[in-house]
Amino acid sequence: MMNKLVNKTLKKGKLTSLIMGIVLALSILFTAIFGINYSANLKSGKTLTVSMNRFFFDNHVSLIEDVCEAEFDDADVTVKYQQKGAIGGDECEIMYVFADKVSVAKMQEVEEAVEKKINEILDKAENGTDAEKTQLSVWLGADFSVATHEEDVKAGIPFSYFLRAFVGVLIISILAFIYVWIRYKLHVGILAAICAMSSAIMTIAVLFLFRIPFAHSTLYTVVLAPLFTLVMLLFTLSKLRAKRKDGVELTDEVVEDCVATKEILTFAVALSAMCALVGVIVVGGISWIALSAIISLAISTFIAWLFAPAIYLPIKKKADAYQAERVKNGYVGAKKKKAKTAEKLEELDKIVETEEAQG
Amino acid sequence: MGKKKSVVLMVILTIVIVALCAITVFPAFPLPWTDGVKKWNPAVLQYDVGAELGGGYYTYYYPEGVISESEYKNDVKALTDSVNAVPDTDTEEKQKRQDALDEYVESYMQHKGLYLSKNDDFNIYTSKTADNITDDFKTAFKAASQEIIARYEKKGYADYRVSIVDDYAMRIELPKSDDNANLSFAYLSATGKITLAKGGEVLPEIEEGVAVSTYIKKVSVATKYKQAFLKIKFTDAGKALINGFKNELTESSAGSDSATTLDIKIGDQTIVSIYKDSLMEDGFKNLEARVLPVEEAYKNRVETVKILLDSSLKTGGFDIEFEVDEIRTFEPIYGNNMLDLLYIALGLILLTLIVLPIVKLGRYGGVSAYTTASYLIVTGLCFAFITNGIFEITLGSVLVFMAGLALVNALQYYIYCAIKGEFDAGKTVVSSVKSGYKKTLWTIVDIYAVLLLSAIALLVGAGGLHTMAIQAIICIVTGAFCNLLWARFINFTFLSASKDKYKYFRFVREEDDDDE
Repeated sequence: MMNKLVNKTLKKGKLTSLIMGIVLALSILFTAIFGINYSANLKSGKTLTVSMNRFFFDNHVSLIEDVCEAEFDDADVTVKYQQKGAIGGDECEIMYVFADKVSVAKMQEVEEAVEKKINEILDKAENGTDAEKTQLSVWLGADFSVATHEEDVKAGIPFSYFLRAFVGVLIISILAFIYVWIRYKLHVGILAAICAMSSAIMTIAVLFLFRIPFAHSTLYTVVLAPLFTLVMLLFTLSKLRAKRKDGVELTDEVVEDCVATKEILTFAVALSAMCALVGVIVVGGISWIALSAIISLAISTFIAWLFAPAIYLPIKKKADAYQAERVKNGYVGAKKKKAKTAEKLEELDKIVETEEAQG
Repeated sequence: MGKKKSVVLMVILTIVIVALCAITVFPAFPLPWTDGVKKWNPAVLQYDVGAELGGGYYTYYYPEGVISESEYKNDVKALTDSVNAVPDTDTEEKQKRQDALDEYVESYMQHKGLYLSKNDDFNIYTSKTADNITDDFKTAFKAASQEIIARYEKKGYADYRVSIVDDYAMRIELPKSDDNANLSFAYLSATGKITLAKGGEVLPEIEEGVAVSTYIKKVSVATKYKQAFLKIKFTDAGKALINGFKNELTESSAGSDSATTLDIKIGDQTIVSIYKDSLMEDGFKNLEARVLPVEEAYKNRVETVKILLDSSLKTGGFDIEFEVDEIRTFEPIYGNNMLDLLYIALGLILLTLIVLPIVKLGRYGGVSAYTTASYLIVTGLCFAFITNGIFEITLGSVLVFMAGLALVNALQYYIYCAIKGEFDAGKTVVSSVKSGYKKTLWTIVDIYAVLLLSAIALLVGAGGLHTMAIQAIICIVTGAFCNLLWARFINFTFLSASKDKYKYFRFVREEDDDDE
């Protein structure tokens, strides 16, 4: 069944390239309009900070969390995430982060509601019934303070990080091209470089297109895509090389047979399963990063398994045509030169032998 | 290899691998004795983790004259309490305290979640603009904050965060792996004017407006004899200036009370003090100073000072200075128990990769299991003990570790399939093993060679990407060693000790089937 898929896509190199181009174009358009969808902690937003003393923070912080969450529900605002900050001395705080679109007026309303609720509790703790005083005594002396702020994140993932990641991917493509050219052939080197570069570009395109939250770790999944692709591609290339060495002409059927489906899918499935397990067990924001890794792997698998064989033969055709042109213009080629030199030396040896015999 | 030797070797291998696995990952527990080391900690607990996994430190930078709403409210509450503490009968005292409260309230203007001082000394408040904030303050804050952002970018953290809070304050978050976070927060906030001073007095040339960069050519970090230090190279003008008073400077061995040093100051803060013996000429007769020597392990501290000085020399400083608030720790945003859950997930993965090959591939699967354990040991220990400044474990590290693990096992399976293919073609088991390994050798070499080149290429990356590239190199080299050498050796040992080589690989010959 898997090989049927390879068979279907083998002669559709142009179509797959077109689809990838469309995805890339859409991604650029979406990103230009909507911007990059950074993860919650890298986005600007409104914050509500509740400060308290260290003792209350260490022992009863869940009480203030309950109060805040109840007020947030009443005000119908959603917390993106919260962050607890503790110091060695006093004045610890909980910071709740909301989306930037929550209005200043709404934030003010929430701040006042939380302050009012805390003051009510403190009042009961001081002046309420005996039962209330006993139950709420832990609230006394905690020195609460509530404040709202606007945060504009200026540096989460600097542009230089993206730029250097891109340069890294470019260097990977160049080094892969050189290595594969030396070990295999020029057109195979070109194939490896195209696949490496495409996997990184398509990974980031898909992540941006589907607005997957982008965190620091997401960038790692993008730059690892070329590595995944090259690993999977090399299984296929080594089979093709073996066929070539056996003198088999590389037709579509031979290329289809050489696609290392089992090896590629073993690696891809194993790593995807690991990422999925991590995402499921750890949950929270890490699930998004696990998803990014799975997307990166899926794209790398597509490129190594389906796209590379589809464009291999057209690239080979062009390389063969170029080689034929060179031969036509008198270029003999290094191996043929060596063979011709060996022939000439043999002839010279024969002449010397004959002369010696005559002499 | 003889059977007895193989069995002995197998036993030794197993004991060593189990022991090393325990050193790498066995959970921490208290030790029974009271002297010396009190707790067993596995290597994985030595990791410095990035902010995503381990949380970090954060603080606020407030320009002088700006305070947070919390501080304002606390001050108002304190003053209000002091008013209320005075009995109503003491009207004079009560009025005095009330006036102090009113004066305090009047002296600040609210701007979102901040309170800005109206004191003219700070040049923040004006009645001439729509928002009552001077253009000078806005310009100075914008320029200084951008420079601070650039400084933190140069530090190369795997993950960090800098944000502007309510337009005129800053919030900085750094990962917990930065042991010198307090130093980074303090130094990188310095935005005052950069000056040169001798014996506490700013040099006349600087007072007259000559830029400090006229005298200082370059600041760099150097290491020698396991020490890291700051190397400050002076220009020819700097050399001429210093030679004019070099003899007035004190040697570093003299008492600090009477020391006359050449100081590089930012605002009122002395960043570097240069003694007479810190100055020397290099091979090209350029004057340089070697200062702030620290152990090489603390090179990061000197690099922070270098970033600060480079930045200040470039800009000259700003008309705004920041106060650093209390430094707080924060938990990972994904939850405090995230690291524990991650270890559980990785533990399950490792267990699966140990058990599954044994179930599927028979005793050859045991080779894969040993290879997996060996990969875990080598990478786990290397991650713990190879450091290069900030060497954090991030989610990228987890990903490269898992990728290496998947590759090692996938290649083991690839070798198994090649051996099986040779066996199915009619060769003996021993011959199949030899041919199988030979057939797969160059593919595996190519894979690891390309991966190694790719990981080296990623060293150009910044921050966490650079760190991940180093970790990827470790995983790739370990994987190559495991697949090309170690697993072969283990396979050879196990196969030699095996009674039935067919059963070892779970091979069945068709004619054997027919016989049955």
